[in-house]
Amino acid sequence: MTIAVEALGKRFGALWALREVSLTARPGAILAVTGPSGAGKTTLCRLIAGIETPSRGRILGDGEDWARRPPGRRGVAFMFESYALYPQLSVFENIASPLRSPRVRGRYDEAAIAERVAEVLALTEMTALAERLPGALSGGQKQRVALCRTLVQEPSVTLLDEPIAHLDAKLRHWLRGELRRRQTAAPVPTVWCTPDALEAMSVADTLVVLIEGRVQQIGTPEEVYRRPANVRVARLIGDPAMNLISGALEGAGDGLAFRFAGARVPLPGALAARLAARAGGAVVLGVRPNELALADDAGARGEVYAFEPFGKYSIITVRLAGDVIKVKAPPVRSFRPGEPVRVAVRAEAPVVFDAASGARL
Amino acid sequence: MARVDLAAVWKLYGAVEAVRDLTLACADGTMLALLGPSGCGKSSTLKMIAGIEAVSRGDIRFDDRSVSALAPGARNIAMVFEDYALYPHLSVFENVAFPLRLRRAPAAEVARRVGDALDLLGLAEVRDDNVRRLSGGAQQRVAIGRALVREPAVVLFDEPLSHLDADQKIQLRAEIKRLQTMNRLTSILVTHDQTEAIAMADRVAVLNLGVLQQLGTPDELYARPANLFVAGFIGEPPMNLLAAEAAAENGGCVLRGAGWRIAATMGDGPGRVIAGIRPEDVGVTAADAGGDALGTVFFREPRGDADVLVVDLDDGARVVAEVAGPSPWRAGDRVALAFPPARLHLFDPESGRAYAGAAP
Repeated sequence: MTIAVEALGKRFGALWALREVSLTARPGAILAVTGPSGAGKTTLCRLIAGIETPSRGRILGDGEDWARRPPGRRGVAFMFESYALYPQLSVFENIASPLRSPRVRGRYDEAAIAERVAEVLALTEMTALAERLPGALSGGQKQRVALCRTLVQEPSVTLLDEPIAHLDAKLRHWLRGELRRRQTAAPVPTVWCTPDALEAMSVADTLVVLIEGRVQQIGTPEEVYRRPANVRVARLIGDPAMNLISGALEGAGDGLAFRFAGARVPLPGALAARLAARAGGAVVLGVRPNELALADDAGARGEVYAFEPFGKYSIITVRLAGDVIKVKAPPVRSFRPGEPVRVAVRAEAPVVFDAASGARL
Repeated sequence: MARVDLAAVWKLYGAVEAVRDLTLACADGTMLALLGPSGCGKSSTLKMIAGIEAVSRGDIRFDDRSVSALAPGARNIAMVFEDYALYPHLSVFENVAFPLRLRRAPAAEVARRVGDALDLLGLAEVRDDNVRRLSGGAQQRVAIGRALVREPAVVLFDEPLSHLDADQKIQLRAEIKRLQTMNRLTSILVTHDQTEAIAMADRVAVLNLGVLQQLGTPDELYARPANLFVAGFIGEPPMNLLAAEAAAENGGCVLRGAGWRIAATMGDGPGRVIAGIRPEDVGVTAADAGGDALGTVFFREPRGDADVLVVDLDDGARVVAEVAGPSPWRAGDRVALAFPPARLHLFDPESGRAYAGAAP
């Protein structure tokens, strides 16, 4: 099954929760949707599941318009962020419940149910808790039951809304790998929503960045990371996110340089040629924290704002003339707030954004 | 500000020992983090320092003065909560001014001290806004301003970042650290997130099941974890912990695990050990180059400037490696891994304790 969403819009009263969203989720691939709270991620899932009705646009399952297809006949496995477990049923029975529903009557015998449930319990390290009631589980364990109940099905599409948000770091890491392997082997598409852009990058075949109901960018994780479509996307992706430095373009010999806080960064030839007509204009330079270095003798002048030593690297926050930026550097020495430093740009492929619109140039 | 000392402190809830024999100190003007998973005793400890919970046994002192018997109001502490706990109907200014109004401070003094706090926190421009209009990060800055304006002896931060989106978390983490350093605030931070503890605190106390596991600077905890719990808790992705057998061979010592084998130097002679190696210390090369272990990439997690590779070794163990990104490796690739002996941490599998001198 391929799910295509075309110019989808959803309005709640005066508020458009989604506007003009178009995307395609293909079988055996994970479409990861990321964006801050309020972006419209959950609304998108609810529209695909048929729990909400679109205000504009349409949803197609293998080319068939789903407008008249009720939720029960879409075959969508949807993991709700709120879990929605049956309090009187054991973990095992909660997970088995979709396999016993009237819609799939006769498809699974007890042995098949036991086998399918055992597989997802093992995957999520929940085997020992199969007989517990939901009331006796922690929040993270409840989330894993809801995840199991979604994975146990053979749906037309799997929708995961923040599936691993409340699990500890080690289990989250393990499940990212296991779920990715499992879902990419399935003959159906998976839509995985999360506000954690790193999580989205790590599981996605295709990454969708959604902000305030609008798609900002669709691409592979590498494309979005290397070439964010605008400053809003740039602010979301990376740990820490890309630095956005205000400055101006100026001619430098045959080429073009970016000037800020008393420093000049020559731009690579192809980029310079493309931006030649903008010489003198105000722009924003996007540079990753690991593409900046603290130098003794050259670079922009600033002062240390904060210092965070992380063992394998340090993050030094530096205040320049107009911006606060983050430098990710080897853990060579510590810095005190207020200490003067110079920052050199060592980016091989910097990106430049329009100062007014924020769009990448 | 004050120095805080906990001397052999216990917290008992009936038969449950929530905190067991905890002794630690937070030096004047520094930040101490209490770090651990849920149920480790960090919140009970914070509540005893605040005076919200009674100390079952032992003593808590601020500057050599016992506060164990004092009511919360008499301890001169300020708290910053995870849900901000602001007054939603009041402006930014009035929220910060609230503790001073309670004390009936003169208007001129209120204006001066609140003005200073708002400047310090970058809130001057929104001083008259209703707090409900602010982002989560800005609301938490208001809560910090309200804590500081009282000029407390100790500031207690209870999971201050846990309700924020990732980007705001990264911003505010640096802000709190700067504020604490510049103003030399004696502060105690409670968190379950090792990244926050490492980023903000001068010293970190790692707790598990009510017992102190290790107390040290972030560097010490990272470079020399005292036991398996700390080794697995500090660092992201966590340290690889692999069962191994140490044996004498050809006059040297060899460490052998499921699917790998290396020459190592260790003082304690042959026997079973747990070998720990951090993901960024694992070398990854093409399989035909040879290494300490051969395996297949199971999963590649791109993180932008780094790729985290989960590698299944041919004979069983699963190893996580972190390499510079974007890397050429993909799921299914055959790779050779190297475990540099100098980067190994060795632990006793029975007690879980680190062997002295085993780590760099």
